[in-house]
Amino acid sequence: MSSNSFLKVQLMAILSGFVYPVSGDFETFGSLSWPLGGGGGLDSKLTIGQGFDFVSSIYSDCLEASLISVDDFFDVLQTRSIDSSTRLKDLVKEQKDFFYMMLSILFSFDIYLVPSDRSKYLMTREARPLRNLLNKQLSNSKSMVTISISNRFKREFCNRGIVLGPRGEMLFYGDLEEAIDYEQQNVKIDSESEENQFDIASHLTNSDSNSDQSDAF
Amino acid sequence: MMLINRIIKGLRRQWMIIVAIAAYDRNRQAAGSSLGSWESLIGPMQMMLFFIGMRVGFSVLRGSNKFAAGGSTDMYFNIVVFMSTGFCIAFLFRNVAIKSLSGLKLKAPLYYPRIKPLDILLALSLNDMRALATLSLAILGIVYYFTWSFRLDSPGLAISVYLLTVMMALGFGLSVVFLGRLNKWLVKIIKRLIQRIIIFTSGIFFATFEIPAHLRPFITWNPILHGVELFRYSINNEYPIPDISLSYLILCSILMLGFSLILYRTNESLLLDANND
Repeated sequence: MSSNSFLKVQLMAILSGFVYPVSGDFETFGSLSWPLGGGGGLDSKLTIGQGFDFVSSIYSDCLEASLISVDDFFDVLQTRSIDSSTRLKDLVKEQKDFFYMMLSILFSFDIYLVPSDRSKYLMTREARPLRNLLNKQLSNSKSMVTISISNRFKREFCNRGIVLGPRGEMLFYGDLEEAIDYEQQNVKIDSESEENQFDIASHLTNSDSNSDQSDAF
Repeated sequence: MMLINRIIKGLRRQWMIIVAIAAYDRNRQAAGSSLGSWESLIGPMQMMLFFIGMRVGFSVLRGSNKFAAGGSTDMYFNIVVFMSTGFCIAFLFRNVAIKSLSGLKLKAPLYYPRIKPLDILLALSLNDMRALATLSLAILGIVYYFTWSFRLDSPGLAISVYLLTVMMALGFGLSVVFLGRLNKWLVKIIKRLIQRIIIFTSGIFFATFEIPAHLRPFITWNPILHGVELFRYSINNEYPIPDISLSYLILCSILMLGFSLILYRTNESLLLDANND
């Protein structure tokens, strides 16, 4: 928690490996997720099956340790009419949000990263099955780091809170309820800046044009 | 023992990541092309056929045997084998180097923290390597079938030269990516130079022994020429290769790759947004 929303997004970007820290270093023990539900990583021309094969090859160890089976994964997607042969670009926004979140939850990470906007999505009615599955994964002694501004989300998924000052200095660290109280009493949240979401890793997408073609000769 | 297990496990995971990215790139290229999965093979093939057609066409115009090289290279090789051996080495370097030079056009997989920029470059190189190796093997097979004269005198040398060329191309491409961060025009100029210099000085169209001795130093500086000529020599050990040495190729490959890996180790973060070309 912090009044400085840019700082929070930067923190999330550093943890995700998109930005290198200007000074210092951070170390993680165990597997670290990508920002949950983020729409990066897969080319829109790929099918759901191809995207799944790609991510599961890279995180095969996390898939093996998962409490959710691959069959369950496709069954849940089927409830939103998402088939393994569907192309990503053919999905409507609701289906895309659902697919990317489900894909992230399928893998069993030691630490899950949840950006603010995705936490908001997780608390919607449509995402209720995903919430249950995420709770199931977290029950297996896993951790989660979030910069969510939703207290409802924090109360459901977190038990500890850190309050940072505008320059990143640690003001409070401890029990979640105490952290929320501390934040409400001492930190002035600029609701307008919280609304301005920074899109983490928005540049990590492929352009549709195949630039290699222009390199011929 | 624990350390060895960890290294093996790490290498296996690294290999799986590279193979997954290679498949990812093939799938996305196939989805964007009417040729589907054949796209990665048809692209280089049409260029190779164009070069072979050009060379045979000149021979026909000159009035020499239309099925032969029409020159002294004719004594050692069929024209198609001669051209395809030159093409598969020179274009391997060209494709890998240009992909590296272009920075990371394929950026999306970097979203997953386990994937590093070097993995993408290796995966793209793997695809090029596979496509060109398949193409050259297919052409050699077809030519051997029609002429019924199978010949591969030093297969070990052929594989070594092929791998050394990949190493050199990766090293060269990576080094120039970082140098290009200083000035993007530098990259553009080098890219154009690679396209022209490789085609005309890498021995795709000629053999080194056909060049007069006093002119050879003007082309033998090019390590790709050494790769091409050694590859031909590995097929036919009677093929003369004056001023060509394997040690020069090894030296260039190791130096370029070593230098580029040092640059990569210290400047990896620059490659995350190197797509400004």
